[in-house]
Amino acid sequence: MKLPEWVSPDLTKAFFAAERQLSPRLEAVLRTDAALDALAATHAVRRILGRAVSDTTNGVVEALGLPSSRQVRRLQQSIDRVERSGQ
Amino acid sequence: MIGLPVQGLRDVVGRNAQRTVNALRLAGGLDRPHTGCSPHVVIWRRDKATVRHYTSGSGGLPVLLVPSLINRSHIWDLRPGDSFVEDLQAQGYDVYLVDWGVPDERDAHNSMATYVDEYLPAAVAAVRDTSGADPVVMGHCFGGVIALLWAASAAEPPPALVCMGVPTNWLEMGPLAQMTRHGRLDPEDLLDDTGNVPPTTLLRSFQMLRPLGDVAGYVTLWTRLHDRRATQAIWALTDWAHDHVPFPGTAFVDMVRRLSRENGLATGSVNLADRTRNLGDIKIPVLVVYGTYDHVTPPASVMPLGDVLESDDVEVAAVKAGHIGLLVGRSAKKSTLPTITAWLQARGLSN
Repeated sequence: MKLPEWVSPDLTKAFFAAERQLSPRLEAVLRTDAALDALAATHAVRRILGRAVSDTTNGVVEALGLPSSRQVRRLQQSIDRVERSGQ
Repeated sequence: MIGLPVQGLRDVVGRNAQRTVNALRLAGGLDRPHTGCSPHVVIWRRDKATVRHYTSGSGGLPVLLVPSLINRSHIWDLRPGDSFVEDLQAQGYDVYLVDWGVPDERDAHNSMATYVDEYLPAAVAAVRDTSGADPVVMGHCFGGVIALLWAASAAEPPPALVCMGVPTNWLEMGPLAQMTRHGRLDPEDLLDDTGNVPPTTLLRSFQMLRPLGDVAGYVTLWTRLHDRRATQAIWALTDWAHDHVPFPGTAFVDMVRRLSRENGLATGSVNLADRTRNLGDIKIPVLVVYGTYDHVTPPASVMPLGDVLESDDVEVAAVKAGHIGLLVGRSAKKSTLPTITAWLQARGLSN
């Protein structure tokens, strides 16, 4: 009986043999509708959570009377607009 | 009899000691490879974009290299001895490189038309002013898309166009293209507060193409860590591959709508800024190069470009390389560059 290529005392050879076997399967799985749906849903959840955390943090910082990243960004945008109109 | 195992043990210990030394030097930043260091001057600048002129060449026919928008341009000039720029200079070409810079929120409104109709024509004009001749334009990946769309609408097209790994049929592209094409995600969903696509999102989309690619890269680094030169080569490439820059948001939205959803390049016409760019209008010689192992823009995505172009002189060439192997390493030196220079010479575009 022939042993699979990834059964080898040389760990590097074993790794690359296993990688050659696994990679195409993983790549195929990532292109299935189910995987793409899951990735899109994960992205949406992460985006919503990130926005909620950012809004809360900015709100707390502003409530303390400190400049928040949101305010700094708006200020930077205003400066950029002035710079552009001056060019 | 005892000598053999002792020698073997000595080799193993020596190799691992060298690995440890090289790993510590790299980790400590003492032996990082120098990248993008061929001598050059900046001859043109607009917003973040610049054109570099590599000065150690001996003149000759000008060639303008156009990189993708999502990575840093030094991939064309990775390291001394492993540099597309150096090799072109060695063949007698006068080399120029567009560097798109690192976009921030001021660039979020740059559309694809900004690059196709404003930056690239101005960059070509700067090269023409400096060298006194129209440059051959070579684009890689999305840089090739910009070059193609510009050539399709330029009043003064270049003497020849070389497109390397240019994504044409977007039905064959990776998971990110599939997610945005089928409406699971709108392109706007991927923009951050600056209005651009953040580098981490781009990196993740590339990691999805080859899920075990990073692990394989680090195992390769471990196996070659005793060899300082090999370690530096792997480090330079790995560092570059993880060092994306933000993708300007409006250009990204254009890309998804025009190239991915409408599959414009595969149909031969792309509408940008209320103007239709027909690839059939390109009448200059075009060389389409694709890598047979390319995971990013697979052959099935790149090859159709040869069919869409209606120029009398279109050639499609396969190179045994991956997406980046088209530009760096042995495959670039031994396959890509000879293919391109032979093609140019056959058209009298040499020195």
